[in-house]
Amino acid sequence: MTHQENVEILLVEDNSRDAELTLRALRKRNLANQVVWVQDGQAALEFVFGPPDGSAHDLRRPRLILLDLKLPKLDGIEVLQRLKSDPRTATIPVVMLTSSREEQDVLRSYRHGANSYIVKPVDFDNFSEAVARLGMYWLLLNEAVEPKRISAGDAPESE
Amino acid sequence: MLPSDPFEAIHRGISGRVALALGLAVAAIGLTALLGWVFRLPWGPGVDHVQVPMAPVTAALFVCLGLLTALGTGSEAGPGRVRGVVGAAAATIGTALILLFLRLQGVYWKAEHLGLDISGDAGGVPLGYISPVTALCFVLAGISLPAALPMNPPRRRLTLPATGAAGLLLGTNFVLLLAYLYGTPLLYGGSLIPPALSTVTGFVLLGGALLAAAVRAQGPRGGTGRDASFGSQALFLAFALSVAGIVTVGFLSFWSYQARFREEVERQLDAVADLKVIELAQWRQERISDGRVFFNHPDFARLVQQRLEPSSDSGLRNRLAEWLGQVQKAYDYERVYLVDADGRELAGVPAEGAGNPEFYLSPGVAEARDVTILDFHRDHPEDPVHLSVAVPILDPTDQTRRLGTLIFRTDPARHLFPLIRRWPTRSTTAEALIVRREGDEVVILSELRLQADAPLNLRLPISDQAVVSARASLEHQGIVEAVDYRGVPVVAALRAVPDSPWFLVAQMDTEEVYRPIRERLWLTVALGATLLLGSGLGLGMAWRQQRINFYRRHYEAAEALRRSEEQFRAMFDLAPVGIAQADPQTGRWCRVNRRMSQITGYTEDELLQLGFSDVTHPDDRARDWDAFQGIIRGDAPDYRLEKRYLRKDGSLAWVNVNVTVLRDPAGKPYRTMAAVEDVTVRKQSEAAIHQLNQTLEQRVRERTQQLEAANRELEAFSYSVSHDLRSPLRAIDGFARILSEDHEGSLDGEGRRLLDVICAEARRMGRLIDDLLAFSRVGRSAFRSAEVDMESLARTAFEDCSRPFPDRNLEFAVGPLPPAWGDPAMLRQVLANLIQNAIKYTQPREFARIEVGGRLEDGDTVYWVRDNGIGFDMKYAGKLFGVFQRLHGEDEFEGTGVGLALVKRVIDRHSGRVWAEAAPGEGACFWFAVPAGREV
Repeated sequence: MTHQENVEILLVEDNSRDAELTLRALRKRNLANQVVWVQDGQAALEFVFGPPDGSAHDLRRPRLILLDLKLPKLDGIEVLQRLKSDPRTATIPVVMLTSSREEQDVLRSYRHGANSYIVKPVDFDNFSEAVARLGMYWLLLNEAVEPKRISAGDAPESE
Repeated sequence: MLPSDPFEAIHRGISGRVALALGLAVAAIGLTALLGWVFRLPWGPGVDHVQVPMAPVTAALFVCLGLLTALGTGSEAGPGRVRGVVGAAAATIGTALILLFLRLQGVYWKAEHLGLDISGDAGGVPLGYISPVTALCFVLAGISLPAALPMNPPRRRLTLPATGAAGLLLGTNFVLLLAYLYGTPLLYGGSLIPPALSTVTGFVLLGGALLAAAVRAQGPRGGTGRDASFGSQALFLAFALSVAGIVTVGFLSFWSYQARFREEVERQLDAVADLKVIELAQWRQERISDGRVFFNHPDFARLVQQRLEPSSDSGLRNRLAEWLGQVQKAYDYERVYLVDADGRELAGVPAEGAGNPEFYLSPGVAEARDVTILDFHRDHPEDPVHLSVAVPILDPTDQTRRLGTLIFRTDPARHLFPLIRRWPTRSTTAEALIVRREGDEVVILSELRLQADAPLNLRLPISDQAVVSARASLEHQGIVEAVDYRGVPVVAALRAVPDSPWFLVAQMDTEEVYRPIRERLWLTVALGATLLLGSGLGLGMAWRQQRINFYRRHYEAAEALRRSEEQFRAMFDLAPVGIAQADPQTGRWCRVNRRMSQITGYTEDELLQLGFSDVTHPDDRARDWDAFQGIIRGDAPDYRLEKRYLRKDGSLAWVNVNVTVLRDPAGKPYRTMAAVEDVTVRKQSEAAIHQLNQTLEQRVRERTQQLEAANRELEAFSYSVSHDLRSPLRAIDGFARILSEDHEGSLDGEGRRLLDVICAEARRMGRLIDDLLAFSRVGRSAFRSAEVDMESLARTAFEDCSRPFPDRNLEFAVGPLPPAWGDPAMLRQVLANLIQNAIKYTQPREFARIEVGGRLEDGDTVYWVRDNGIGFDMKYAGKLFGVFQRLHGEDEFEGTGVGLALVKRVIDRHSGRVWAEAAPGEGACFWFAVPAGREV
């Protein structure tokens, strides 16, 4: 997995259909080259922080994380919490990509430092459009924080 | 504090009226007297010159004091009136003292007549001047004036002497009035001016008025509650006083009358005696004068001398006899005769009836050188009593030689005895007599009225001093009271007749003297008895009336008590609550009612052996006993307690007791009274209700838990709906698109249409899910109340809703909307849904008009959204607000049928109403009303 060193998007999605639709939308804009798809929160954290046994592992910082809320094992909020509470990963943009329109889900997400909250439209056109724009925005338009500028003492953006 | 006597007010009322009436009567008496003076009316300036009239000053003072007393009996006196009355009293006392001083100094100023023309006197005292007694009485009246003042609090220091003075005034003048009634008015006959009858009467009335006013002002003395005995005592005292007064004055009056009468009689006797003595002396003088004619008469002496000559002839004898005859005739002597010195009769006319020489030869006569009177004597034992004048005939040449004695003998029965016996006034027993002392005897000389032949025959021993004659003969002078010769008691005036051995006795039978006195006595007794009877009757009737009143009140009180007792008993027996009386010391019951034994299960007799603590549940006893002791101590007038009784059968009875304590007038508790209400049933009900409440709460808790669980499930359901239900739809839509995109070439037209249908239905399903979730959120989400600016809400909602239709010609009008009170997000949803509806159903219209309005109405804020769309038939109005209810085909107007249901649900959560008016083709108007908030 050499290409993993340059991962730009980490897609966390348990539903393979949705994942496929998402990847297809990204691919259409040529954004799918450095996409890694994991199916649960546990896997997402392991991808970023390494295996839980503590073996030597470099921290991986994708340029964007697309995170579903409802996930097996660890759910999206927990993953978000872990990421945003660690200063090393707190600056990684995390976009919630979910089917829930529930107000409390939106609130909880933002409280835990989500950078954006996107409801997956049922309409495929809308859906692919949304995903494409999202990728464009966060990878191309948005100015990311350089990894070297991260220091361990920096406070997380959210409480 | 003792209860005030209910009869005191009546007492005061009567006293007040009596005081008023008497006061006015006093004023009337004074006014009458004044008018009498002014107009010279008969009762004024003393037509009756025996009794004095009332002085003008007295009359004026009576008018003032009478009115003052009458008016002073009003209601409670303020300090002003107290000062006024005390001032008036001081003025009265001052005036009276000045007048008293003037009178005692003997000063009579005309000013006292008050300008009236008054002169003359009655009984030696000047008219129109106040009597010192009257002045003194006015001093008393002035002192007693404050007694009439109703004062609160009563000033004993002022009223007590005042009342005493009033009593003294009344008593004194009562005595004076009685004296007038007895006909012997006191204080007459001296230099002191006596008080007039009208004055005395006025003072009696004034005293009565003041006493009545005092009773009215101070209430019956001796406190209340003993009015009957007080009244009896007062009446008895009044009776005793009036008896004493009547008897004393009667006695005094009689005594004074008797004294005066005796004095009168004595004066009369004295006068008669003096008269008689003078007459007798005169008579004797006349006799002596008769004799003097011949005494030292030279011719007669010569004649006698010649007669004594032996040569005397018959001529001479005849001449002498002629002389003597003329003398006898001229002086009306019984016999005139001449005897010689040896006692031989020389001549005498008439011829017969020679005297006894023993008398004229007695040394006193024979040797007398002047005319002497031969006192009463009988010449011979059978002769009548004679009294003679002996005239010594002396020798003209030798005066020492006595020729003889000429004797004029007189028959006292002819002149002297009538003279003595004559009595100048009419009297049946009065008589005068003369006596003479002879040794140890007293001899009656004159003829007696009642005993014939008394002269010189009736002799009485001089030692018997009880006999007036004997006393007279011992030269007693003046009035004596003793028996006379008959042994009959007489009053006599004794005199010695000058130049004679005679003593005059002018006497009158005591019987006759005392007859008028006795009559007077009987009259006095009769008058006194009548007065006593009258006062006794009057007071007796008053007493009777008082007893009647007393017993009637007694009876009424007893009857009232009986009824009260009867009512109490009835209430006691019939009361639906237990009533028990207990001893405050021991708590032992002394009286219980039937209900009480029903509550406790004991018989009444058994209960009376117990105290309330005995049947009280042990756990409640201390609490009960503390509260009981509390009211005994007086901490509170009563207490109320809920406690348990242990019934006789051992079961529990819940009771509600109200206990109060009854105290005697001294404040000592003598009984406690408890009302006991059996609340066992209520207690059981309460327990049952409590139990039910407990169960209910439990059930509510369970139900709440169930609801919460259901809610949680619903949330989980909604969550999964929003999450999981949409994913397959997206997949269907997404993969159908991918199919049509990636395999376009292998699909024909029909295939592509079918794929489109799949995509459309998937999308519709997505919308349905969204609407349904929104609908369920309305029910679940928290409700926040705030004032909502409906107008701006409506505008933004319209902007949001019209944005997808930029091509449509939409006119939107929003009037001024009152702010609403509710959840802003929900109300926004309502407006949005309604506006969306309006936009939707005006689609066929070329020109769509949507109007939002609102107003305040009966405490509600009412809003409406009106459109000119296609409208609907009102018969389906009931279906409008149901979930998934639609009035138009989905092909005609797309929609999920949730919008209006959501509107209704939101308005329901606001406790409001929602309704619609419409007609097919004529547009629709949707109304909703929510209660105006507290700040709207």
